[in-house]
Amino acid sequence: MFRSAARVAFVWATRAVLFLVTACGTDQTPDSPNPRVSFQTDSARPHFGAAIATPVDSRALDLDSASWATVFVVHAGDTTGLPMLGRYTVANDTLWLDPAYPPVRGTTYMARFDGGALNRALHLSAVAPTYGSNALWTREFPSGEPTTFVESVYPTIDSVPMNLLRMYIQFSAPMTVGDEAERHIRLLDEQGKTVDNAFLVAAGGQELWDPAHTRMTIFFDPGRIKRDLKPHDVLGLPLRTGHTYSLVIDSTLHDSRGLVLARGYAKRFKVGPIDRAMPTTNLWRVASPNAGTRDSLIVDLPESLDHALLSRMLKVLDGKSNPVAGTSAPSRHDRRWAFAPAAPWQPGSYFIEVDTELEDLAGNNLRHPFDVMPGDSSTRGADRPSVRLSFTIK
Amino acid sequence: MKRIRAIAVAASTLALVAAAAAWNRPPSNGMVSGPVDAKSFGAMTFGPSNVLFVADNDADAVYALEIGDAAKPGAHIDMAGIDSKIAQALGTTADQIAIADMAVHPVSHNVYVTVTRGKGADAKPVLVRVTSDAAQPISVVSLDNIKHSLTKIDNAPAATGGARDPHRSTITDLAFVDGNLWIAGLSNEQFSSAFRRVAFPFTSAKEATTTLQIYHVSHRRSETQAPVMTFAPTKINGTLYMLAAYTCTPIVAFPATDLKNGQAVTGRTVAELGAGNQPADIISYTVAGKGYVLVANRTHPMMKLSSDEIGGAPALTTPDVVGVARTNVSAPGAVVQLADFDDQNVVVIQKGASGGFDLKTVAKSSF
Repeated sequence: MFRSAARVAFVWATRAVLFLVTACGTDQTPDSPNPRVSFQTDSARPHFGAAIATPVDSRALDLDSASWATVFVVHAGDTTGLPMLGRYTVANDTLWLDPAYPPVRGTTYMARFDGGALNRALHLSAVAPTYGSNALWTREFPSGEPTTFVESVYPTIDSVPMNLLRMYIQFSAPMTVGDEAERHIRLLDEQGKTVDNAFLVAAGGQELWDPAHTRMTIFFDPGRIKRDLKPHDVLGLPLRTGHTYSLVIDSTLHDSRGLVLARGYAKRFKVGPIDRAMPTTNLWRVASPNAGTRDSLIVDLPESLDHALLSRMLKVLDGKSNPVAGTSAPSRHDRRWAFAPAAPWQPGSYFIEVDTELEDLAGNNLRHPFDVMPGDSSTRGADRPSVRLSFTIK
Repeated sequence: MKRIRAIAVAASTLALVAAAAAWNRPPSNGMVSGPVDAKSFGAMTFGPSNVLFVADNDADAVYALEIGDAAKPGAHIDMAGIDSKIAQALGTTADQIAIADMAVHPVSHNVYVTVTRGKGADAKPVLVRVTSDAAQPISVVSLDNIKHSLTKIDNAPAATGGARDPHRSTITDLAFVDGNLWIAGLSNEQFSSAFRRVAFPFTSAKEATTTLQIYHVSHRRSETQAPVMTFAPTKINGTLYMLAAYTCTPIVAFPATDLKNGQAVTGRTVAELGAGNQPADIISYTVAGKGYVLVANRTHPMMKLSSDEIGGAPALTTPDVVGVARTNVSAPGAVVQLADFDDQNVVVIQKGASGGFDLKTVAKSSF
């Protein structure tokens, strides 16, 4: 929330840059020097830099921060609003205001030294006319060629169940979180018309990102998928069997540097029947490698499973239930899972341990379907946290 | 003579006071003074002894921060254009901040707001204090040296040999009840309904997790799991409930005694506030001996319900019945943040006439 359509770029280099803006305003009292006001940016100082006024009246060196906050202020954008928070330091005859936060690109800052306020603080108001100085500085927008792009959209398969629960968008580099993604990501039908209210918007409009901010999760509105809920009855499922849709990601999304994407992305997919069947490991085919090799263990699945969960919910254990070190990855549109051991296979018995919360594309897991209807006796699956598939290395 | 004055503006005053007060006594509540390097700030709630719990979703953690505000006479806080004013104080513009949550200090009644300042690689979490003090209406809680502790939220580890674990829970709401922090969350990989509780002071003990289930309204035997978007601990006729608001928008009551570790519990759906809607916040309060529940909504108006009716309401069984009566008390989608303020008032952040957002204290008796 609190995001406007207006877009201001924001990326922030930490290299040292020095900007000096000459003071303007020349009114001056005989008693008080009119200080020059400038912005100085320097990566050695906290938060990139400071606003400076120099020289300041020697009688003012003992003023406290509350007084300085009435005399020397920096405004971002709107000079009628509140001044930036910061820390005041007086060194010799120079007043430094270190802002609490670094400046934002595309924003104009005004530093203002109010001589009248200083006179009031020094109880000189009766004798001194107003004087003052100010300086303006704008932090420039980021430059550079856009390089970030959408690597893939999961599920990668071309045909999905009508009750598809979620999709993942994998970017090639970290992205901006809270970039109003719902404005830049759309589901289009065959006529190119946007399917409204297709996705869940989490409380507070929070977007669902991985910690690296390279993968975004979008849920189809579960209220439209689950039977007997009002959105389901009123709106129906967002996807319809037999039709083709496109998930479109505009290039206007911004990466973490503030640059747009190098190109947009469209994922086209056909919609098949509803899938309300629990996945079961009974139908998995395990191909055991030979002893003494580091060939991959291959598990072929009868249907695509959820990419993220398939990536982390399978483990290989040895005969004593100790984890076998190695690397694993899903492939073939998440219908295959391969495990390459770190050390050559030793002869013996092994297990693949499968977390029963592993889901298919429609959110059905090994324990129960996503959507349970009354009187349906086929809705109870595994009753344990995990199940095991055994295989033997010869 | 070289003279140097380093004077912190109010931004760090509070931490200094807190640090000074803590100097001569041993750490309490398992909290120690030092810097807090938060990655993000999200949902929050006040607990006992000036402790503020703040979710850091990027760090899979919840911080406990000591916010040692002094008591002061209750004063309304009204601030038009709060988003712009916070942005100005942080040296930016309203489109460059995002407000995540709001909580009211139970002693000072200062309003605390979690804010993300900037975007992308520059995004920084900020804990902002809003007060009725005209000279310093907005300040920032310094995290340079603050008494704190944290608890990690248990997320499933990466698979064997996997790269960085992309799995994460986003905390949607927090509350403190009888020595425990209650945590509702939303996973980016599962549509799960895990509801966590962790004892405070934080220990190394694993959090207790209950799987929450609710009935499809039309069939009592048909259960479903869904993440809680916002919730409020609410005592009704001597029984403590966790009142949960879900997407599209059932209100479900779970007796607190049913929230047991490792178990699945089915709640009682007492009201349907309407489809095409997300609950933004839910609170409960008492006026003249009668209990009420307020639910702020992203699409629908804020609604008031009677606690007594919720306590005695049967579970909804048909989709045409909406359950407990509700009164609309705001324009549709107007209230984006809602918190209890004091005995007489709530505080809201609502859409203002000028397109920005206004902070406003509102008398409970006016609803």
